[in-house]
Parts: sequence; C-alpha cells; structure tokens
Amino acid sequence: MSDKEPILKVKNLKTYFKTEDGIVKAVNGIDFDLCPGETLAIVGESGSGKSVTSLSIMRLLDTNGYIPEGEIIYKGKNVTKMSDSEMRSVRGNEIAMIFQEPMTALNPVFTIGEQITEAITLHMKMNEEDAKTRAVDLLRKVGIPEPEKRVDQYPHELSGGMRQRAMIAMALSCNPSILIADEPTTALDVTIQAQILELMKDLQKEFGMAIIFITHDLGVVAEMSDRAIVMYGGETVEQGDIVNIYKNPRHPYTWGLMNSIPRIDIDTERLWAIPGVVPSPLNFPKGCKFSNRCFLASDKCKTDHPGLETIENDHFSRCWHIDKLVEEVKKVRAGDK
Amino acid sequence: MPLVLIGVTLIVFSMMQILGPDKLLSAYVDANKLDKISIEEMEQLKDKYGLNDPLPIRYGKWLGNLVKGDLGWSIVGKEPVTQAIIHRLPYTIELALYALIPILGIGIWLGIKAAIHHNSWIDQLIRIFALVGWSLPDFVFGLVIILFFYVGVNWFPPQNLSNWAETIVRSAEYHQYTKFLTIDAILNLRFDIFWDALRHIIGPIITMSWLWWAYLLRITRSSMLEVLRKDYIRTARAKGLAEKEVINKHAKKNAMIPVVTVAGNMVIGLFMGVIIVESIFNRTGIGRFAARAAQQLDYASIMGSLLFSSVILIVGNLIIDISYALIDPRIRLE
Repeated sequence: MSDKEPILKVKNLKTYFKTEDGIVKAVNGIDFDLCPGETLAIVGESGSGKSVTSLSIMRLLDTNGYIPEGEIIYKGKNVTKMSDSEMRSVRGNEIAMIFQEPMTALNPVFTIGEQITEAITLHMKMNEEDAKTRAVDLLRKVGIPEPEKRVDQYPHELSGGMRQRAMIAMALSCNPSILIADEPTTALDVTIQAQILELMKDLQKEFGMAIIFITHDLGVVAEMSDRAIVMYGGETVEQGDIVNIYKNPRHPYTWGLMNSIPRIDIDTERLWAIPGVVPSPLNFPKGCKFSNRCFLASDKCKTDHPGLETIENDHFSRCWHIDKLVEEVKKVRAGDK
Repeated sequence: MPLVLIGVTLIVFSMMQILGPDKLLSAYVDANKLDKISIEEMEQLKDKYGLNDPLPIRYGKWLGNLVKGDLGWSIVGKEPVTQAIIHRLPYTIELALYALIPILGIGIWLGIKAAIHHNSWIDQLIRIFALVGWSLPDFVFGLVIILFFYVGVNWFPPQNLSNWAETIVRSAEYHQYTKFLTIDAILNLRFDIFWDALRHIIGPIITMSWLWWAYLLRITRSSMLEVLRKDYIRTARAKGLAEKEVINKHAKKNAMIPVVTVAGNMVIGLFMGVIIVESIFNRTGIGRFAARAAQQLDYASIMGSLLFSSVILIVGNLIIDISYALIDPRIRLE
C-alpha cells in the first residue's frame, strides 16, 4: 500500500433497496481507502454487493436504492451529501465508469464520436471540433484501428472488443482520477479479455488514475490489482494485499474461490466447489453470512456474527475460525498430493 | 410498392364483380334513367360500356380508366368519383392534421411524463386517464361531445361552417387559397370565419384524437420505461449528463422507435376514423362521403374511397419505413 493520501475513502458504507418483500441490504458496511494510481479489486459472486458498491460511489443507484449510513469521501468531500449538480461534475469528469456489457452500454442511435465528445464538451468546455479531434486521439490510444473512420460509426458496426475499447476511451476522455471498471471483460472472449486488461494497465501508467476493478474472476484480479476486497453478502469477508490473499487466504470463502479455479501447476481430479448458492439477500443466515455454505461452520458461526479481524498489517478477515482454516488447508493440501 | 398497388386494384375490381353487370351499369348511367329503360336497351347499354366483355379485358379497361383518373360516376356526390374525392379531401386532411396535434402532443408528452414518474401518483393518474380514453369508442364519445357541447352549451356545432359563413366562403370575393377552411379564413383576413370554422372543428378533433392519444400514450410510456432501464442510460448518467439531457437526448430517440410505427398506423387510422367522426358531426369530407356511398349502394364511390384509403395505407407505411431509418441507424440502408 502506498503512503500517499487516499483520494477516496469509503467508511461503513451501507446501501439498501426498498422492495416489495422488504428492505434488501445489498451492501452492509464496507470500508476501504483508494490511493492515487493504485488498483483495488472488489471480488465476489453475483449478489455479493460489489456492483452496488461501485454504483453507490457514482450515486447511480436505481430509484429504490438509498444509502442509510456511511460516508464516501472523495478528495475531502462527502459524495453522499453532494448536490445533484456537484455530483454531475464529478461523474465522468473525476470518477468515470465502464460497464460489463459493451453490447448494451453504448447508445445504439448515436455514433461513437458523438458519445465520446458529449462528455468532453460537457466537462472540458471544448468546442465540438476540438472535442472530436480529442475523441479520435483517444480511440487511437485505446488501440482502435482507423479511428478517423470509427469515430463516425455506430456501435453496431463495431465488434464487442472494439466497443469495450470505445467505452474505455469514453471513460478516459476527461482524465478521471478514478476509473471504476465493473466487470469490463466478463462479456468478452478470453483473448480479447487479455488485450483489454493489458490496455487498462498501460493506460493506468500513462494517465495515472486509480482503478477500482470489480470482478468475480480471481485470475483477472491477480493480473490487475494491488489490493483486493473479497465480498460476500454485502460485507467484506477478507481484505488485504493481493499477494497475501493469494498465498495465505484467511477466510474459507476466499479459500473456496481460489480452489475452484483450475490450476496448471497442480493436478487435481476434481475441482473444489463451494457448496450451495448465494442465498437471496433476504435469507442470509443470522450469524456469519457464509455459515450455511462453509465447511468449517460451527454452532457459534450460526448464531454470532463475526467482526472483521486484523490478521497482520493490512490483512483482515471476518471469520471465527481463522486458525482452524490454516490447519484444514494444510490437511486438504496434503490429501491432494 | 407498385406490386401492392396492382394487387389492390385486382381486389377492388374483383369485389365489384360480385354486384353483377346490371348494378355496374349505374356507374355510367343515371339510376333514374335505368329504371325506365327496357331490357333490350339495357343490354345495348351493357354492350356499349363493355360490361359483357370477358373479365381480363374489362379489368384492363378499368385499369386504363383508373390511370386516367376516371373512376366512374358518383351518385352520392353527383359528380365523377375522382372529382368528388378531390373536392372533399381538403376538409378531411384539415381535420386529420388538426387531430394530430393533440394526439402527438398530449400522447407522447404525457407518456414520457408517466414513464419518468413511474409508479408515482402522476403516473397512476395518467394511466387511469389513458385507460378511460382507450376504452371509450369514438362513436360514443362523439355523441357525448355533441350532447354536452352542442345541445348543452352550443360551443361546438356540427357541420363544417355555419350557414352565414358558408355563403361568404362560396362567394366570388372569397379566395380559396388552400381549401383549408381555417387557413383560408386567415389569409382572407376574415377572423370571424376563422373563429366559426374553429368552433366547428374542435368537437371532431377531440373525438378523433381522444382514442388515439390514449393509445399513443400507453405505447410511449411502456417504450420509455423499457429504454430507461437500458445500460446506455446508465452510461449517459455516468458521463455526468443532466437528467434532462439523458431523457431528452439519449432515452427519447430510442423510445421513439416503436412509437413511430404506432404513430404511422395512427395517421392511416385517422383517415379511416373520419368515416365515423364526419358522419356524427355531419361534416363534409371523405369519410362521410364513403359512409353515404355505402348506405346508398353507390358502388363507384365505394370503390373510389376504397382505392383512396389503400393508397393512404401504402404511402403511410412507406413513410413509416423511411422514418424508421432516420431514427435507427441499424436499419439504415447502405
């Protein structure tokens, strides 16, 4: 972790949704800091609250979503208390976002150029002509061939990878200090994925923005990020340096996720799988939210909700059985060999 | 499109044949005279007008006449069918154009309002309004309008103009530039006539537009709701655009795609709808002409009206297709 002053501090963030079945606590107390130029990964399954966290930062929640508690401090100002117009000057300008589906995230009835220049003319007060020149430059930077031609094309004339590149160009158009990437490679095939990740790393070096990388793919996390937050049921279950999380996972959920990825260096007959599925947000167990799927779960786990414990400097885990996990893992690993 | 037109003429021609040669003769000879002539004379007349010829030859001749603009004699109009239609067309077009204003204005505007305020009391109110509008047939609603606004308070009288205004309009000093009553009145600087024409047209406008704007509202609302949930709307918001711009620029253009189809069909439907509205309000126009032709079995006029509405239908659909391409780049032709 860098010693620089964080540009984004999220403190005890809670995001709830009003639904017909009751209040859904999609995010229930998340804390993290983001320093300039670093990459933070937020990892979790569908429904873990990782996308909601990012949408909360941008204040782009659906109308039934609200933030009852917590602070999101961007450069000393609380995002949750900003006026709508202040918020708009942050969106796209200081914090930009790219989405999962490049197929649907671009408006089909406007050209790529029109959609990129829109943000440039809005935030950078450029005239149309300069904005278009900048759009072409950006498209070239994100590796789109023939940018002069592409800028006047419509999204349907571009492939998925090209569209995601155009989305990245759009997000970077106003030199944001934070880029939130919500599963940017999930909808793409593997070779294109690698290209897009490479591109994002290069652009980060060039533009120096911090990245919040949201994904369910731990392989991608290792490649991209400095630190990671593992989310489950709207909470942080493990948080820390990426190397620590990989080498010494200290939460059964993280450990399960790691083991469910096929590895080229270990020969296993069967892949590990976390039993069950993520429960509906209204039906999480009372104690530890992971207790109904955890192989270490005891009676205590079912009744008492664990807090986020410090394991070592800057590595946290939310589990009653951190020590037991270390032993179990040794046993399982020994059994594998 | 030309193929469709030929198809239409074939169908119209075949339908005529159901009537048989005796009835068909009325297109050429005054019906009063037909009653008095003998059977031999009738046969002669049939030969003269080629009604005993084989079908393909008669179709060819009929088509030839059609191309020349000759659709036969209209009993209802007491003039050739083509003339009768041309004379009545401006009244109907004027009515349809005026009816479009509330339909498009209120329908689309309220539809978007309802979608933006989804599930709020504004939305509920608009939906109830639309449901009532959509459920009320125009022939009932037109009578209600007459009952209250003509019989009751005499605001919106029937017919095209009052008698005094009619006399002035037909006089030599009054120039009929466009044949649209309201516009001609302004161009002649006769604001009293303009006021009179307006009073006569408001009732039919309300009746005609009522059903359609309710329908358009529902389409606009659901289309807008769907678009507002799309990812690119979130992208637009993430760019920092103001909500107004997100809705008016990014959402509206996409939401209008299905609305265009409906609006196009609606314009076509308006020309059919005038049959009822013009009859109820006793207005001169294509609609009442067709209705009266049907009542009096004036087959030449019926066929003329039928051909006319087919042309409107075909041209209308062409315009829909063109406007699609204008809105949606994905269907633009290379």
